[in-house]
Amino acid sequence: MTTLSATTREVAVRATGLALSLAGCGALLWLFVHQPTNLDELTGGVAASVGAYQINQADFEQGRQFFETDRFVEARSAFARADPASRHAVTQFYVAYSFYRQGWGRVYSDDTLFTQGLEAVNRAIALAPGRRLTVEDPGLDMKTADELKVEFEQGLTRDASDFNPLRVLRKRR
Amino acid sequence: MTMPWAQLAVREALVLPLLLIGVAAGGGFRSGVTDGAWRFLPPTPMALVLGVLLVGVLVRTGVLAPWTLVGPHRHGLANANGAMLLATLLLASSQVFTALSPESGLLQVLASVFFLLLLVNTLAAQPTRARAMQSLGVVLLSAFVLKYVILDALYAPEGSLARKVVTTLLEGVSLGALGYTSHGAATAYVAFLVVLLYLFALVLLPGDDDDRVGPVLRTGRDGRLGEPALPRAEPARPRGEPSLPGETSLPALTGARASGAPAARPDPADH
Repeated sequence: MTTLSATTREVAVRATGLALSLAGCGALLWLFVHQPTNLDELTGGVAASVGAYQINQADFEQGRQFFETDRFVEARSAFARADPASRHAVTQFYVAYSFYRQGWGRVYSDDTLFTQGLEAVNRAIALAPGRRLTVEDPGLDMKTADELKVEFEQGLTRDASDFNPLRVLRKRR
Repeated sequence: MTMPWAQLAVREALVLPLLLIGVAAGGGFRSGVTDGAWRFLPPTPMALVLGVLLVGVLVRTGVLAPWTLVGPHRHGLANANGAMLLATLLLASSQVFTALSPESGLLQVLASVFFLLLLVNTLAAQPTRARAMQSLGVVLLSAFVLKYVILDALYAPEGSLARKVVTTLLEGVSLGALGYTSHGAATAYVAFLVVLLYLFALVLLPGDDDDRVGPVLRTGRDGRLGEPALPRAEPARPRGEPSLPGETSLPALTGARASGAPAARPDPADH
């Protein structure tokens, strides 16, 4: 009886150890792939991987209000509070859109802001299910992340169309 | 002294792999010097090569006895535990070098060559387990001091004028190939913890118990060089205690003499 329970205990210890080690290796791989840059992203990423991550809805709504009144820096600050781990696709879409609207210019666009916007929209696309993201907001001219991404890429590309004087007639989307 | 199987199983299946995974994660940790942003670096190919060499050194010096972890004499689950321990040891060994080497530039190449030569030298010297551990401790802590105390202080962004002059001279002499970037304070603390935990894990590894001579000499003493050594005798186990689960226990010895049996005469050689 004692021998049997000793064997059972050994098997249990070894099986538990193996399962925990495999989970640890998985966590290590996750760290290398996702590269969290702070504790919020680390905890948010872990929560998101088990489907438990939620944004702060009040901060998100406040961010949208700032966004609609063209107060983009304040909007991004509110969005950062709402989604501290940068794991919510729609919030990241709005962050990217705020970079677009702030960096857009009739003659030229701000490359620094557009680069940050491109990073944000790429993040939003990566987080969206099936990499397809559509935001039904009547205040937005571009409702998909793909359109927004193209705008950023065109803004960052240097070509002959940059010298077209008719560019001054285009509108911010 | 023989360790109970339960402690051995816990150490082999739980403690060591988790400790080594922690070392592997911490070895890649970097924090930015200005914004404190984290990064987790995976092992570079050179770090993997150094890790394999280090595991080779551990085996040759008796710090690690891999045949006690994996082999046909063990059942499947125990073999899986042993293989996992070896895999995490390899990863942790690589990440220790990642932690202690600069990330880019000429200094990274120099550090890799330095580690490579030291490991090859240790392999050639065939030290005992204790001396190998001492040597490894000195090498790892020296590399830590060089990177996180000296280089980080030299390349700190808020350095004094004299420091900046020295750095500029170094960069000038090397034609700007050094390319060192300093780290946030958290990186050094994590790296120090990683080195200590790694050395602690090495102490816990199942190794060769005979620490008086190196493995080659041991092979020569137990058998002959080039021939397989005889298997070592199992450590004495108290009679009456089953050696393995399922094994019948031996009858316990008592002090009473069997009736009619003559008492053994004391051997003069015992005195």
